[in-house]
Amino acid sequence: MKNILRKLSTALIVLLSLSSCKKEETLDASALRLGGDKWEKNEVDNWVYNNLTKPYNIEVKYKWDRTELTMNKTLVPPKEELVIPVMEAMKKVWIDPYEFIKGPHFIKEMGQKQFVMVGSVEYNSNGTVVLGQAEGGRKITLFEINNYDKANKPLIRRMLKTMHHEFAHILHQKKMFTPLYGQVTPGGYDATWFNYTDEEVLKMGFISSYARNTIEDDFVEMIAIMLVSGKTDFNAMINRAGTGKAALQQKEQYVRQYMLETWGIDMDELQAKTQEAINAL
Amino acid sequence: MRKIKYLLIVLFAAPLWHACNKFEDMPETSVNERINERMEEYQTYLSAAPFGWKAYLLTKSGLQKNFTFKFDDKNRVISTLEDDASKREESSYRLKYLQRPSLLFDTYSILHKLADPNPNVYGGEWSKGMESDFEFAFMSASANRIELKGLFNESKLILIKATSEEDSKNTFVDNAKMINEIMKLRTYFKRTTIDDKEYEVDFNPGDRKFALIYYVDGFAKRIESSFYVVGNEVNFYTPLVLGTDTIKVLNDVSFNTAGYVDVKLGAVNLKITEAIEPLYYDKTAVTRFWASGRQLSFTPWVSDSKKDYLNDASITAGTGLNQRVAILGYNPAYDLMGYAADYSLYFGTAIAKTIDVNTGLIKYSFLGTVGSIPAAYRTIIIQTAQNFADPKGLYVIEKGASKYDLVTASDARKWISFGPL
Repeated sequence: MKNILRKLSTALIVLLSLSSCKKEETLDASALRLGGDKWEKNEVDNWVYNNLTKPYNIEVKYKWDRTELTMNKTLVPPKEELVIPVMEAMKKVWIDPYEFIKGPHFIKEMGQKQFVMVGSVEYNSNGTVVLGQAEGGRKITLFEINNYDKANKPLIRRMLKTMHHEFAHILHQKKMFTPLYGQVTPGGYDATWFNYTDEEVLKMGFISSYARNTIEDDFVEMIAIMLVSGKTDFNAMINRAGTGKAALQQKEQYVRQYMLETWGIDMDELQAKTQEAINAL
Repeated sequence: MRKIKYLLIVLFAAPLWHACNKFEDMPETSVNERINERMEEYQTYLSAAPFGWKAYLLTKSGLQKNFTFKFDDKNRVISTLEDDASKREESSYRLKYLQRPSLLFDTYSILHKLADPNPNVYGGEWSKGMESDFEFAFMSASANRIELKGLFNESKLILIKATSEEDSKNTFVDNAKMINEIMKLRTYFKRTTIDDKEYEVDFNPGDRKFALIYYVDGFAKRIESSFYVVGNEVNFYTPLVLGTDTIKVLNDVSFNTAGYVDVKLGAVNLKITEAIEPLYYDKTAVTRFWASGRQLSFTPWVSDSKKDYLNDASITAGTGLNQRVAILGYNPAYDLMGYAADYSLYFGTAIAKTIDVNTGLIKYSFLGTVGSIPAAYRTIIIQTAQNFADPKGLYVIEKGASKYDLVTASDARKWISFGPL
């Protein structure tokens, strides 16, 4: 009996001492300024909200946030005054043509939800630069915003090509294209793609030098260049490809088939609409 | 035995009580509350400056530039850079708690030009630029002075609250005034004495660097820092440490008509004086400088601290890339001081050397011209050659790999620099 009492009292003492350490705390959501960055909204923020966030649930991050970017690269934020012009062009050349063909829900459902804007390009140690990046079908990082100039058509085409390139990645990340595509020029893929010019690789059956990077990049480069260059220029490229012509035609065939059968999009129509938009910029 | 058991119980329970002990000095608020308080405090400091802030930036690459910033409480900032003091640019900023409370200039402005990885924007290295920052952590802050450190390149940014419009504008004139004062010292060599020890002074308001040099067994020890000028103060980014003394700032820097620069170091008055010879001279430098067939570039002569006093920069040899090329031992009898365009020599002068290994000096005599020198440049080019013919010879000061300064030995008031082509 004594023993039991003693044990009980011991347990009690230990328990009491433990419980006396228990603290209750109310969690505070404002701690460490959780809940996202806050700043005074201006014209740019309102434009983005009204034209992209509200209708398409797209967020545009143009204010610097290092956590969205490669940590060890030197990069700079975009010029504020270029955010609306770039995103306006992007909407006209990317969203509007798809919307025209597929209706208002396609981009809402498929489109990337976040754009991160960077003023400069990202430099790689091998001498190449990164112009755009797509992540997990959700986020697109657009570089070299600060070079945007409405009068500089080649530059605009390059930026818009990046946009279409990245969106095409999202399309095939949702539904993959045929494995036969990779069999057209199976030996041509090479991580050191930058050693050849765009003209040189045409003869190897690639639409651009970067297309040689991977099969997926090859596929989306085809889509992007078909859309941004337009049917006439694209056919001219294929016609001067020489030994690469047959391969390019085969790839084009696969792309058209994929877009039509998977997404119900007629590439001719999308090409025409995109061109119309680019010329109207 | 029973006692031991009780003892054990007490021993076991004691630390539990002990763990509940609080330090009495801990603040009552939580860490988060204190962070938020601090962030609000910093925000107030920044926007409560009606004339803005004078800002002094030092990039990782060693470039020192002055800005002014005027912050409002709506995340907007107006910036001006010394390169064009009339240009005011508006962009956005925000305070954010990262590892420390931080100030982010979050859209592009003139501040970002220095950090731009494209070297065509503000120079510097490809993919890195001038290695500057636009995200800064607060290192210390008060209502009048804020010290920041770049998060990416660890640039240093000092903000000093401007007291008037005039004070704000001075951000862009103080340095030029300082250059003016220092340039009144005419000689290449400068000296000062601190605590009875003599130092050579390398005061370079152009690059905004200051160094004290002393010698131990013939080896130079250099204590150097970049600086920024506020009024007639020279402030060091890295304090100079001399034994037990630490120098953070030189006050009241001004030229005294008696021929030296007056400096206050705390309560101590210092003089930076002219010197016509180095404190220690490396006599072997000349043997590393002169080698037959060696080609080096050269700059125009400096006289009494005035750069290119002959206006050598006006010389154009031909179309394309114009270069000044010295070819040592161009001919067994002479060195050539040549002017080239697009890698072809056009004209120049011949100077004959004698090296005195005992003194380590190089002596030159002017022989004549080479090629046909356009009449407009003749005086400049011949004077350039004649400057080599100092009767006492020239000191050869080794500044780095293939970099040499030649200084007139008779008065040290003229010098010329050689470097790699």
